[in-house]
Amino acid sequence: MAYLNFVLHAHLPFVRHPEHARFLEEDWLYEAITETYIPLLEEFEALERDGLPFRVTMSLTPPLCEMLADELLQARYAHHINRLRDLAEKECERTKGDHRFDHLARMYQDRFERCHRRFESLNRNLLNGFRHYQRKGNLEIITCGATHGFLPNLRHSRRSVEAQLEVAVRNYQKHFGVDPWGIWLGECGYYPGLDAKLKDVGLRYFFTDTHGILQGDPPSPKGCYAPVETPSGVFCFARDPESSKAVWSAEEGYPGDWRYREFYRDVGFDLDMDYIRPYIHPMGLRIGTGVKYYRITGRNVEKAPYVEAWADEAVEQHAENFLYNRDLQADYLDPLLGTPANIVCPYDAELFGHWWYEGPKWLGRVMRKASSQNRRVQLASPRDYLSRHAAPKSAPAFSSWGAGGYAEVWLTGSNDWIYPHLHHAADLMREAANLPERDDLDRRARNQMARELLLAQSSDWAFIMKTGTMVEYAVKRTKIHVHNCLELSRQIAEQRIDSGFLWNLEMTNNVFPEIDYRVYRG
Amino acid sequence: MNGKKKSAAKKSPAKKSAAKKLLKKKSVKAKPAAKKVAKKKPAKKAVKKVSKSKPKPPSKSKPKSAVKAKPKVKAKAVAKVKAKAKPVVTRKKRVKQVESPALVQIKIFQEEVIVRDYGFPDHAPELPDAYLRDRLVLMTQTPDYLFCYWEITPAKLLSLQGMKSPGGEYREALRLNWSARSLLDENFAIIPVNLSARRWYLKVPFPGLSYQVEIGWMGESGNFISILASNVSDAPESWEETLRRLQSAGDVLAYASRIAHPPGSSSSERAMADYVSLIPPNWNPNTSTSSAR
Repeated sequence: MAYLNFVLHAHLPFVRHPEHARFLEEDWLYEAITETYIPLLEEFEALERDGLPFRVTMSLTPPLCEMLADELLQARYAHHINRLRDLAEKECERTKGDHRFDHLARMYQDRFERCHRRFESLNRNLLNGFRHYQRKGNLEIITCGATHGFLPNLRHSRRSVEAQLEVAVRNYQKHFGVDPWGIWLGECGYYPGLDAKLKDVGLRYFFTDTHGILQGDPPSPKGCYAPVETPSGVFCFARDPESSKAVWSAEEGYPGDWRYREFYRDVGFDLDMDYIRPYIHPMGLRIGTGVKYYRITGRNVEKAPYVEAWADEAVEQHAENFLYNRDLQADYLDPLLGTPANIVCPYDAELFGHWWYEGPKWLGRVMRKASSQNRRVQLASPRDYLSRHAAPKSAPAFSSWGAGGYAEVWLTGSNDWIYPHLHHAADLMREAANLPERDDLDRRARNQMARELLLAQSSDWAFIMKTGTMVEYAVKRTKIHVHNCLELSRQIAEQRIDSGFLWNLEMTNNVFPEIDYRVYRG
Repeated sequence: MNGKKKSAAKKSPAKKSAAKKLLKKKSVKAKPAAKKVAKKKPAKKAVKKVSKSKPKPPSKSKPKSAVKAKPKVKAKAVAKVKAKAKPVVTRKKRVKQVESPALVQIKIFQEEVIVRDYGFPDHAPELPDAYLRDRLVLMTQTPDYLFCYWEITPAKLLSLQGMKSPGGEYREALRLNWSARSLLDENFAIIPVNLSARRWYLKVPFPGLSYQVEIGWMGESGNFISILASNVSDAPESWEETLRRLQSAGDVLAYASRIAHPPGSSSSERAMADYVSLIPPNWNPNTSTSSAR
């Protein structure tokens, strides 16, 4: 027997541009809502409807929660989905009579209509949907660093790591009304000693990549198949490489099956410009709309139309294959461990639905089978495991789940220039926090300075600089937030706060309205 | 999965953040129009009509200077500005056109435009080159490399110039210190650098140890004048060492270490960092012809 922990890491950087009616990077959120978050909620609902006791863990990061709860972004999403509904309607008309595509146009129309209804029925706030399953006990929601900072690279300034954690916990309490048990460390970035800081904010478990535990001191005799208790008493779970590979691997993973939907063939690129113009970027930049009619088909071949029934067949096969292999894994590990293995399967939530169109369906199918059939694996959350079993003691090692396994994605030639600025801004923040507070304007300025610092620390910017796409945006965001910190620091020190400047920042970068800059004191 | 995604995943197998993959597709170039799809007659006709009355792109927001131009607004004034900051909304319109003679109704989608009179500036300001604070920070990159950056103020340099022997020859250098396993082992290395370089990748001689770096002047007699010292940073144990250790650590660990993705490496960064080689402690600036990058 073994436990199966599905952990979905849902994260997007805080992207909110009130000054533009349409902003390309805001689409990341809208696409994720349509393609990932709502389809996942639909799968949860189907499982709930059939009375299946599914268990899944999700990290909903603070920036994502803030965006999902933001009224401006909600209003814009309402337009976004209306735009898609309109496109789908037009597509139904355009493809009428073409049996290769007309049913697909209707499939999208149906999907967008459902998204629209679901979005409105949740009062435009998807957190309401996730909270429902949290209350029902099916979904364990965990937190993440306040802005998904890569903590190993932030620890060089005092209070930076602590603030990332404290702001996150407070934000979680605001959105979910309870304390978080677990945390997904941004990029799984861990360094020895971080466990004590997690303990200080009341967190009880976190995740690392496999080698975080395998390189631990001493290595846990149960390897990555059981959590370890760190020196501070916080528990650490590690990723199972085999189940990860089944989904993540581009070569062997399920999402590459020829029957699944092709991501890159989108009507946003394929159709005549004048026809598609209202649905792409207003400046005429072709972008994906989400309406995609082809299947992966194969390598270096002409793409063939998507056939939903074939994709469903693949979903069924892959769900069965996944569980079959977990059963074998349980059989193999059982006698070696002496206790049930805990198989941690963490994935980026946005893989499901956005990249792997059938992903939510696959996940739903796996959970359905695991909940209803006589399997050797049983769905569980980390909390379930901890309530039933003890964990060996070990100190996990420095690690991340990025390429290379350590810090080189977020610390390399293309992005290392940011750290002198980030560390300096964090030092200024701590200095400002330690000054006696003068008045309300002064307090607001310090709070805003904390927001700007946190936004600058998001690991997404360094990641984008490394990957080489949308670099200009990441550089701009980093520079702007650092600059805002420097400017506010100067104004606070000189006791000459520009209220107009401050108000503009408060309205624009309005993440964490509940923030208290005093987390930087010390 | 198509080739593009595969190549991305190859570089960081199984670990790419799908959330961030969202970013990648934005740069995907438009592919040639699908003939079969684009051929559809109604669409083509519709397009002609539509193009005559293209929806206007949403207007940009007013420059933020409108807000900035009101410095030191008091609470009441702020409330006033806030009240003003309601969305600029243009009502949704569905324009119907009739295409004769087929009488096909064509809708042109126009959405509501929501913009605010506050937001990000169009251009990012340049950040300062220096902060006039002395600082040397050592960061962990991989088991094999550490990264350091520094800033030395003119005042600091001036205050330490007196430490140099008059007439002595000195080279600017980093001194990498570590805790040796035995007293007889080397416990530091000198890496010549130019102080103006400001950042450096350091090859780690022994993964799994703690390191500290100093920046200063290396004298011809081997004496080192330290200007700044860094924090201590650990280099993780090498994966090869872990594998060796775990193969004999019981069935579970041997199994797990075999199937775990070994933490990989990126050749481009290595090539850059390979310029930095460890110089033996007895290196003499007068006889050496090697130059730091």
